[in-house]
Amino acid sequence: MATRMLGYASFIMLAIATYGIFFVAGPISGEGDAGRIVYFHVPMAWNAFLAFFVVFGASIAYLRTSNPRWDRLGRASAEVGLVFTTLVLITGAIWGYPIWGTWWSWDPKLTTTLILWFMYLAYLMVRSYAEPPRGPRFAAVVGIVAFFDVPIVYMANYWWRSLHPPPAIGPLAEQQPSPTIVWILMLSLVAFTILYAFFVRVRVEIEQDEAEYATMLGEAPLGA
Amino acid sequence: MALDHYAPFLLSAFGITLAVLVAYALYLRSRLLGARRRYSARNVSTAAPRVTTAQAASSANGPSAP
Repeated sequence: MATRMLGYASFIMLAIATYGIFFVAGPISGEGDAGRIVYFHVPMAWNAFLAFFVVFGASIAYLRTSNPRWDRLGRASAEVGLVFTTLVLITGAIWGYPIWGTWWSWDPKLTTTLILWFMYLAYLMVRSYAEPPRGPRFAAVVGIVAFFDVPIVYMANYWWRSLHPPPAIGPLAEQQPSPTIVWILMLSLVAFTILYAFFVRVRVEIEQDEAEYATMLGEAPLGA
Repeated sequence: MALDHYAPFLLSAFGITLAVLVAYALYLRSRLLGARRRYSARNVSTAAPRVTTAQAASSANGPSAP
């Protein structure tokens, strides 16, 4: 029931955010309508960071307790985070072509984000293919190590010379944008955060069902 | 809504995002339903009454003589 409510809430919030992006927000100066990509590119990036923070916490909890619930949460969050990071890379490339004149640049922010994507792909591969019962433990170690790339991605603008614009809002923002931009960005952030929670919850339910089924058959859970 | 000459980039980014998210939601739905179907099918098969060897042999021989 709670999962279904999350699904409906994410659908409604995404619909409202879409309306805001196309009908309320104006073009961003110097970027035209390509600048509106920021309204879903940035919230997806923040949610990818949130997803990887959850993987980090769940991995530590799993190594301390060996409770499979933490392993399931970590795996679910890593998968959803990887989907969001994939979309961040794609939408960033589509934004970059009209603004920078190229789809891709080996800029520190983009390169560290691509490394982040590969690290969580590695996490899921280790989790799926390593022999049980070591798979979850190996994956938990990868989940902890990979998280150290998240602050590097965030700080890349400040540590190295970067083409990528600095954060639009937050403590490191260089100038505060207009209230309309902040309002729509926040709306979109809330919508994507609810969607993230919905996806993770469904993914954890799948893991639980498959684990129960495997237990019923007297086998180790798939990929465990 | 009047879009400028950058509109194709905005619309393609939005379209790809929507398509990937919907595809992922459908993938999750199909896995969830598959897991539950297997689980309930297994429950039904374990709950069904079992036919013993003697019953099977007697039904294979046809009706018994009075």
